[in-house]
Amino acid sequence: MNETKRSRASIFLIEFLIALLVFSLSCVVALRIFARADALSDGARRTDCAAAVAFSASEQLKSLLTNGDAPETLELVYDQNCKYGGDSPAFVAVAELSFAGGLAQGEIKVYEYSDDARETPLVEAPFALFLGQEGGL
Amino acid sequence: MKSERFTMRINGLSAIMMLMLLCITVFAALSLVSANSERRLADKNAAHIVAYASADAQAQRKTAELYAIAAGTGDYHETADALKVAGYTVAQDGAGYTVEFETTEYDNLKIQAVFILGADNGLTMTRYRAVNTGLAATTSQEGRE
Repeated sequence: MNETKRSRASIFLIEFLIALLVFSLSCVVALRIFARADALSDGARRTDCAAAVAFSASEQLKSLLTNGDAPETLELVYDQNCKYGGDSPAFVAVAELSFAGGLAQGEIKVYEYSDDARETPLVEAPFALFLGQEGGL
Repeated sequence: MKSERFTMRINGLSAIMMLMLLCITVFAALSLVSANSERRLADKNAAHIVAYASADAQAQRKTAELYAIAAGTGDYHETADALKVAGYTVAQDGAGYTVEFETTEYDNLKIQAVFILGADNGLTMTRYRAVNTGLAATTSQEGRE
């Protein structure tokens, strides 16, 4: 009687351990999928924000140029919520311009603020603004 | 009798494990699909913003070129001829001319601009608009159906 009980218990234990092993392995796979999804989502958020920053920087630059300021290089810092300024800088938009024939043109590149080398922009957009022959249209 | 209960117990445990696994797998797959589409949407949005910036920059360059041509000619008839040669669409309109151009298409988006060339050889911008050519194609297709 005792032997039968012990045998059943050991079979149960073996099955339980096998089930636990399969469960753990599947959990590891699922966790990797969750981590991948998180990385994708984070990348999407950064790309989205960088695009918004490029657009915002372009509009800010147009405003500066039409008001008579003509900076050849301009750096605008944005926070994690894609807002200009802010306490925690997350993105920086760098604009380099050249002026000829009443036309200001160049490029706006958006980098992560932590990217000191500034070699891989998140977004790169061309920029041009005709200021008119006498400073405006 | 006892043997049946023993079997049920194992099956119950396995069923719970399977159910949990199924839930975790389904949620993992859903989050991956969601994140993937989020990423694609973000990439498309960024590409559209870059496309708009490219079209706008090209339109601004063309505007500068247009003004430079007008500045380099004697009168507005001469300007109109020079603009025609440069590839602009020029049409006589009353006392002056209307000058039109559109940019290259970037990601189903182009910019159309219209200017009035007056008798004083001066240019006035009357229209500067972004046209979504993808949307126009869809609309005309719907119209045909």
